[in-house]
Amino acid sequence: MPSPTALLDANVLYPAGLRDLLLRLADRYLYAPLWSADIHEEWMRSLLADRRFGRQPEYIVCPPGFRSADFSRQKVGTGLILGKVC
Amino acid sequence: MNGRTATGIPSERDAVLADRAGRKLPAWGDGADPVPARFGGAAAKPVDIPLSALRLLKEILDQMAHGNGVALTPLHAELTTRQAAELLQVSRTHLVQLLDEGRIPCRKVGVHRRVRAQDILVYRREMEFARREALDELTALDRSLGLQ
Repeated sequence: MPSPTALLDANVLYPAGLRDLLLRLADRYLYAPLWSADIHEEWMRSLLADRRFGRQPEYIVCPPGFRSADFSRQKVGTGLILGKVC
Repeated sequence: MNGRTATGIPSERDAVLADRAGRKLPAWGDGADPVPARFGGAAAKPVDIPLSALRLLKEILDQMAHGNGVALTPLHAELTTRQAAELLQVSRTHLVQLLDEGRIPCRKVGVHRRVRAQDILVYRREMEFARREALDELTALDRSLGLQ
């Protein structure tokens, strides 16, 4: 049965706890997550701007879970492509 | 063979019946195999049913009790690209790309491609495994950065 699709905007990807919960629900096929390259870039930029870090997070730009094969449901034609940001 | 059997989305009545029936089925441990079952009254003769088939029946009833339709696909069945994409829950475009890259084996019938259901399931399990590892890695990184 096709599961619903949800767009994850930068504001829910930035907080680690919420991101972890949402991605794990998607991992169990409760819904299909979508984000765009712009959205991905936005939460990465916010993370980099966070002054709490003494060092640069090594997963910046291409974190695990966001690599092309991790969630492979691509929606082509809507302008939103899933899991193809890096 | 390309046969697919489906229950369709169960009606509310069927979901209730499935729930009731599922609860009444015994929990088959390492019990007798085959299991003699009786259909249609006490006078009916018992029919021997393989344990594995009965476990599947219980799963079907559980899914229907939750309002889910169930489709059965024989493991050796050859699927069209549309059916394969549906089984993998990806777009047809993405599936075709996976076939083109040789990541899932397929067979050509004229201009059409056929994919074995089993190959789709193997690929799906591999992807699930890799994805779970990636998510665990992400959680570990978040923790090490004090984000979580």
